[in-house]
Amino acid sequence: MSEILKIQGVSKSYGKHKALSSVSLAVRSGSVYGLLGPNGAGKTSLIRIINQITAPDEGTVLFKGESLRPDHIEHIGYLPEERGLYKKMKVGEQCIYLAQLKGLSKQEAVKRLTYWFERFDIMAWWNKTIEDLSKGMAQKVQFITTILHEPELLILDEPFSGFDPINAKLIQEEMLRLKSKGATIILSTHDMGSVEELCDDIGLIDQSHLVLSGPVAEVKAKFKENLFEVAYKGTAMELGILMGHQFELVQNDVASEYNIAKIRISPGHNLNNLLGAMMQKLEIVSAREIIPNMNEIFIKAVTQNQKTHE
Amino acid sequence: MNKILLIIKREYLSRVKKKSFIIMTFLGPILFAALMFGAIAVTMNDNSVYQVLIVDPYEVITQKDSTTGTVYPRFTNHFKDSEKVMYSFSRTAVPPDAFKESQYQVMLEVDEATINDGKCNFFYKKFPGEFVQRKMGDDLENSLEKHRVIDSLQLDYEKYKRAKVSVSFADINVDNLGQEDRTQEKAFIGFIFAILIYMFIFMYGVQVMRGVIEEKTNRIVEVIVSSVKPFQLMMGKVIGIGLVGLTQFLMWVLLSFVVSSVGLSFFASNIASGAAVVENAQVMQTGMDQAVMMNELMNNQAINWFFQINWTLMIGLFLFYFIGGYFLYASLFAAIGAAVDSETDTQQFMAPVSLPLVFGYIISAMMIDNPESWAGNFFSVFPLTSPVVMMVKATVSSTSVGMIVLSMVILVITFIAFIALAGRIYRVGILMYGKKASYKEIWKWIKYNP
Repeated sequence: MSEILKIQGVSKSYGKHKALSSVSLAVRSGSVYGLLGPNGAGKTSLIRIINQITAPDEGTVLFKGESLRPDHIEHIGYLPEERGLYKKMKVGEQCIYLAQLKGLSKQEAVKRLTYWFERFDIMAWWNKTIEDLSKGMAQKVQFITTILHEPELLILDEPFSGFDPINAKLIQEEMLRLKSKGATIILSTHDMGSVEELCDDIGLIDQSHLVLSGPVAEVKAKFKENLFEVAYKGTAMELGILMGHQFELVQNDVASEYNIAKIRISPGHNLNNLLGAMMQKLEIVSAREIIPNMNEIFIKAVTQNQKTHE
Repeated sequence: MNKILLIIKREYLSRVKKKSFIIMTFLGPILFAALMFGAIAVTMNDNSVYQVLIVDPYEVITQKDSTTGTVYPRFTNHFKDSEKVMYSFSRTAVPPDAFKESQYQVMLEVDEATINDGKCNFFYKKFPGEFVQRKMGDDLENSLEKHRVIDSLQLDYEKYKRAKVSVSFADINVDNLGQEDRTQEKAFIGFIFAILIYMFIFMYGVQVMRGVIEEKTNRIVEVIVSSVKPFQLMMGKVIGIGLVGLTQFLMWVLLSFVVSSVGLSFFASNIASGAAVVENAQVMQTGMDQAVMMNELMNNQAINWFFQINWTLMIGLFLFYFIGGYFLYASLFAAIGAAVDSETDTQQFMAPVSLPLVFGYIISAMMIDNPESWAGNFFSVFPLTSPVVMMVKATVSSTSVGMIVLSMVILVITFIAFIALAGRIYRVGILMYGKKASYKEIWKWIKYNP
């Protein structure tokens, strides 16, 4: 899979404040890339650089292998976190205007808008002003204006904020549909659940540095602790006898039918060894590896990074 | 379509379609006319009759009939009753309480100060208008003059009158011999243009600022600057709103032209028929055509200066200085809008920006009386005031073409520099939320390379 966006050694400062320090990352074509990081880490700065709202002090940004050019913005769709529309302008008129600014002709804009308005069942809003719509409704309109020019690269900053669960689901489905049609999506969010559900790759920025990046599965593997959850029938004491330098009992919860134990396996040993030992004395009900979720990885990576910078 | 054109179109159409714009465009000239007529009506329409008591204890301007005891004016040509003023005379003043109860509205007391220095107290229940005051003043002044000539100087008044000369100026510029100039009247017309420019710059400059603040506070600016450059957005807004101002002005000119030509032909027919009665009754019978009437009107000394004004030049200058001044100030207003988060924060920046404009307005008002002052010369070239001041200066016929051109060139150079400066503030400011900008901060933005 080729890379649609390649960021190499990008730095950016605002006065004395360093917003980005030599950040390099690559976004694969047709993937969903999760851009993560705490507030004020530098995500918005990076997004603004990709959108050519600001320029980097150092480093390069390649879009489809070429240095960023003004005409590239017609292939990029951007839904900022801080978003809004002209309150007194009619919905239809406003969408046409924004589409024209992205390079669409008026006729083409009207044609595509009709399709999307019908698809979202909001044709009745065409002649309403934005101030007549609820926040969620306005967000829907804004989503349409972001994707209307069928951008190859979509940058969505907190796209689900302001939506109720039903509409959030609708937006999520549309994102996956756009992905299946070949669009690449950069998703910047604090909602780790959606990262887990949608992203193929992630990049985590903290204190202006890219501290973690790669495919979600690989990142997760990197944060595994060889921790396993085993449900068994028997007593805790019987389990305790089996523990030694190769297996460490982290936690044992007693339930009515069976117990659940969290066991760390030392390097050089595996689940087979553990289950083999346990089966001699106890009855195994189930066993699975505990893989950290994105939320845990996020907190761990950021805490580690902050410790090293202290 | 070019993106800047799209922005201009949106800014223009969204404002021109507003009800307030349409109402102002049609109501503006009518409102102006109503205001002017209203001002005239205030002085004209005072229909009440004033009972004025002249108290003359020293017997200088009145005399007493020894048989009837009535006091009446000594000089029969003065203190004649008119439609608005009815005079009564007395040797003794009416005490305040009695005056309140009396039929008089005004009481003039001719005391020593009046006789010696012309200072006269007048007591009133109802304050007399300009016209009544002038009549009372003229009557008193002329009577006292006669008293001095006859009683103190012991001269023959008729001889004295023949010796008296009253001077009136007719200003003629040496470059334009054979025509009276009427510089002050023309300067006044220039001042009206100056007020228009002052008003338009403020009205539309503030609209630019509000527009920028609106885009910033509702956050659409982030979406738009991902499609166009901030400078394009700023210029699109400035040009679009400027065109709205020009549209309004042109509509006003057009409407005023229609209204005034209707008014003028009415006025002309009145004057022409009046003149015709005196000069040639026959002409009136055969009827005068419109051209003759206009000719009559233009030869009328009282108003022919109005037609001497080079209106094409004035409107041309107005358009130039409006556009130049507007660009200069609107770019500053755009920068202010970008630097703040809400309109309430604009105060600290508004003052230094609007001060030169207000100052220009004051200078141009003062120039009606003294159009050749050094201040007038300086501020009609100084770019922050020239759009307003030059409108008055240009009406004075001694103002050279060279001076106007110099003022124009300086204005153009300055507004280009200001637009560039404002652009630098704007591109940083519009993306800064929740941070109150200080002058120091703005200086950083100007130097900063995004």
